[in-house]
Amino acid sequence: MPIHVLHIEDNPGDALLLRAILDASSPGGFTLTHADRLATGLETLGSATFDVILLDMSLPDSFGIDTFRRVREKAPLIPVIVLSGLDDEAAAMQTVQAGAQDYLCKDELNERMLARSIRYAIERHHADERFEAERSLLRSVIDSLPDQIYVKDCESKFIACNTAVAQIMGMASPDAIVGKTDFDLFPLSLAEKFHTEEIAVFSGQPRVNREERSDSAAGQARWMLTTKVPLKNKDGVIFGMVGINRDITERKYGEDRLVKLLADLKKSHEDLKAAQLQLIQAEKMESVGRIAAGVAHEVKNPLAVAVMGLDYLKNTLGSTNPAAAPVLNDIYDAIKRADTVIGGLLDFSRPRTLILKPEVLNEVIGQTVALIRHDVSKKQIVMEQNLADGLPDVMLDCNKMKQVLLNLFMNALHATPKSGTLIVSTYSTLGRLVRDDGAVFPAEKFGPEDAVICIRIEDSGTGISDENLNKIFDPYFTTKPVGEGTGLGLPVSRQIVELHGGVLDIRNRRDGKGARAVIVLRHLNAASGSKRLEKSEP
Amino acid sequence: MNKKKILIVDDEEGITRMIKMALEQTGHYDVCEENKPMRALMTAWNFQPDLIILDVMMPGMNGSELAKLMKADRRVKDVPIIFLTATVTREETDEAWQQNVIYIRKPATLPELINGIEQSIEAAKVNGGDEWIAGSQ
Repeated sequence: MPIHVLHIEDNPGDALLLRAILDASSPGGFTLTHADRLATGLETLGSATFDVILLDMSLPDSFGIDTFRRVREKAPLIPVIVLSGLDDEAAAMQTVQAGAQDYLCKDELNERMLARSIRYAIERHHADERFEAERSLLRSVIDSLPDQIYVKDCESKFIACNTAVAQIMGMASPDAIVGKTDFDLFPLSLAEKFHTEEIAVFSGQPRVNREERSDSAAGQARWMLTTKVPLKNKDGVIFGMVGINRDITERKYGEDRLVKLLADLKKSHEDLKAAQLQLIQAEKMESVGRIAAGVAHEVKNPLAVAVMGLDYLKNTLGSTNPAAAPVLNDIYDAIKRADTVIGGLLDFSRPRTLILKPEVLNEVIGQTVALIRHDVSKKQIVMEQNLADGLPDVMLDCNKMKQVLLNLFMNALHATPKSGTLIVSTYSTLGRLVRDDGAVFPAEKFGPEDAVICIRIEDSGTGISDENLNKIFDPYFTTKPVGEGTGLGLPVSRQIVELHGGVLDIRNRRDGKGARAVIVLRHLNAASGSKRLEKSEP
Repeated sequence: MNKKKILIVDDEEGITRMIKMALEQTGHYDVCEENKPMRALMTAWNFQPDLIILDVMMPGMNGSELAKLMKADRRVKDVPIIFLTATVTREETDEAWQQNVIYIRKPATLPELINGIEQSIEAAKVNGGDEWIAGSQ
């Protein structure tokens, strides 16, 4: 394949000479087209393709480096060899710097040199093109990446950066950033922070994958994953740094959502556990209830026989043997006690129906308090009543609720030492505040914003031990001495409160001065005409 | 003085025997025991009691059903009935009194039983028996 050469030369003699040299060096290896002016040459370039241009620097219609530039402009993809005279070597050098492949001194031309120069020029040009293509590819890659990539020198000046950096800084192109430092681009405090970090990097400590908060130009909160590593040359000397920033805002939000989900999950888990405990407790009650009726029947019949027999004995023996009377009475008492236990069991196991009516809570409390006056004064206990005014009526089975209150009062009295205090309070509040107070109950019972009414009874005893706290609602669990309680009071009370749709929560007082029982009841809704709820937490 | 005739129907022999002994020991009562509720009606025809005591929970037939049968039988319908039962709580007994159905809880003392018997017999005399409302439990 012959090499197509365009020779732009005004001197005909030089032109002929060059043609001769070319032919001699490689017959048929070159085709030569001659133009004697720049204008002609440029025109020819427009109509034919050439592999190389030989360009004389001094032409009638152009001079010096300008000649080269115009040719280059017209045909940027064709390698140019500049031909100069001895006196304009310096200018010729300039053209090489400007992109010419070579310059040759006209007076020193010979066959070998010219041919070689042409071939080298073409090769080098191809090499340049390949190099440029690769560079272009790399540049495309870096500019296509969404991550911000930038390079700085050891003085923290930007040497290069990709378009993502320009975008995030609100600049038109990377060129607006090259040559500047952070102090030119960021607020002072931020620039100082970056500078301090970079000093560490320049000393050889990379900062890899740090999560940092960085707000956008518009002021939006964004999270970045930043990496800054030192750049080393092949001798291991640090000559700059490269940094990569990745926007992880979405990921961060995703993480935040996950954390919240986890918290919600944990809470659901806790609620489930609480519900499960409740179910287990209910099961226990169920079992006891189921056998209660059968047991009651089986025990009451023998007791009936015994009681009837006792009466018979009293009537027959009583007259003849006075010593027999106390014995018979003791037997009678024993039977009565057994009967009470059975009665309690039956009471507890019987499915209950409540007769609900709107009641004034404080009055119900008052009536129950009246019942315990004697026990209170006997132990010289101080009773404090904090009964809120203006509480709405509550739907209650008055008798059953009094039974519950009595049970709780008696427990409190029993726990309180002589001259201690017993506090009873009533107040209206919200579901979440009851929870905050430490009460535990399933979520469906009362929502956090549900209006509820509470009755709280606090004693000044020693409180309930941790191991007993779980047992107090178990049937027949009691800490009272034998004969002084069936251990059914609390399970029955809880049952009654739950039938009212409420919660009975018993635990130790926060101030550690004893135990406290809280009954939480649903508020009468507005539709039934209750008074407006006002928070009156004491 | 004429002794009052009492028929006691309870599947437990121990109960009927003890009640019989205790009541008869007072000298005022003549007691017939029946441990098989199915036979109670016939026993009642033959014994002609002044009052019938029925246990509520019995195998085969409970006291309420038996009471209804008796109230439907022309030979026995005017005889007052009281229920003796293990499974009624004190509360329910008091409520039942309000409805003119007398339930006596086991274990009942002799005085409680006698009280119930005498009240029932008196009430039956006053009301003529027909107005007595059977427990419809």
